[in-house]
Amino acid sequence: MLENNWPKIIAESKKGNNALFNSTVSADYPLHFKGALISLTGSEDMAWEVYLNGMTKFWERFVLHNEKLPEQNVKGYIFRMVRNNYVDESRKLNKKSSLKLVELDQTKLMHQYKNGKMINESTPENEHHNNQIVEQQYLVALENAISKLCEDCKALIERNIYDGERLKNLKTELSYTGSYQTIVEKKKRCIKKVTKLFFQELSEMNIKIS
Amino acid sequence: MLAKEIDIIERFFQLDLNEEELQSFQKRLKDDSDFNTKVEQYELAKNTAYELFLPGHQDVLRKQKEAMQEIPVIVPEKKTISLGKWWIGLAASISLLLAAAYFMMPAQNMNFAQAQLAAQQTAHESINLDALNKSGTRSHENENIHPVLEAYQSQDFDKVVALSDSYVNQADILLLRGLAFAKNGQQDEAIDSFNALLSLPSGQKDTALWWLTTIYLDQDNPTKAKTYLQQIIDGKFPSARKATELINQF
Repeated sequence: MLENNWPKIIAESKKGNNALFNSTVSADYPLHFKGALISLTGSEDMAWEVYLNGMTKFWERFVLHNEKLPEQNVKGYIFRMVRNNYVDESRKLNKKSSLKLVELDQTKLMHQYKNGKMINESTPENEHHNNQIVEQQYLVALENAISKLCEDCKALIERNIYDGERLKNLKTELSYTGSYQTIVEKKKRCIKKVTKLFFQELSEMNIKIS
Repeated sequence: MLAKEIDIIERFFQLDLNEEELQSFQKRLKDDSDFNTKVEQYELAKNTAYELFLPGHQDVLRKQKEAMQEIPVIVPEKKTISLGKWWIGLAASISLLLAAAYFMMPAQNMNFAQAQLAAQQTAHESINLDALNKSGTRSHENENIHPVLEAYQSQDFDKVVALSDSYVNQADILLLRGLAFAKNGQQDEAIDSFNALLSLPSGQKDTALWWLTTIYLDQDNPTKAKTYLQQIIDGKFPSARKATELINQF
């Protein structure tokens, strides 16, 4: 059976045209994945959910983060991603958490980072929170991790960049001499660095999430 | 913490582990609570990093998922070909036959995909865990099934395999062993277990036959799958009618 033209589909999606990607996802599901995923999950609803989550991850990696697509058997690679995603979903379902990530209101905490410092705003919501100590430890661990980053990565965080236009502005502002792709790659490396540093801080401070 | 350990956790969240690595990762998650904590800490660190560098990243992903969901799943339908106008001459007839052959190929593939799905759904429906539980309660000989059943229900398929190692002459346990192998993607081992079950007296033979059908369809081997469908028909199992409908589809 012929493979889809994934390089073309990804290239179109990078230009903002996701229609081809979305219709391929929809068309491929009953032909190549539905049966096997129902066998794996035991439920039609769960199979579809796991597939969509896996394909979202596929889109995130190869469209959003510009990772290199495998040269051969992309269909097999997708199946592997979707199956691995099922394992991750099962892990989350089986997790008996006493403290959930949502309870930490992680996004809100992220936005407390300004000018290289974590702003520990004591909001009425926070005051009623049972997990204030964990939040505090979380903020300290994050601040420690960020302090160990290079200046370029700190600058990238502070600009809260997301869309292409702002990224281009930043390229000029920070005097990056390389191509647009250079700053994209730089951002990827910074994400990896801060993940590792923050993870090490959490491990050392023994901050448990569950 | 070893760089190798960080690498494997990182690749787990990238959904990038191969089958062997994934199995060993799952086993470690179950057996090692420290490792489990590290995985959760890594997940928190990763989500935090994305939120720092790409604020709204989760929203972007959620929107993409919704966009994929909005496009209806395209269910393959059977295509029909008209071979009309036979009278236009021999040359035209040959062209039409060639065209028909060309178009019939995808039509057969689509039927095959539908048949495969129907077989898998029936295979799942045929699993009767209550019956296995009751057989373990009724018969002293079968009471070993309870821990195996418990491991199966908690989706700990490696444990099912380990626990069932000593009971490969008990049909009900063999069924769970085969199912565990199948769900772990170890199709050859699943085939062996289901075939071993078929050689024993058992009330679970139809389930084993449906799973064997499913596995061979998954391996693109409809000829072999048909032999098991035929056994369901010949055995006059309750699902024989479904097997008859399916066997005519490919």
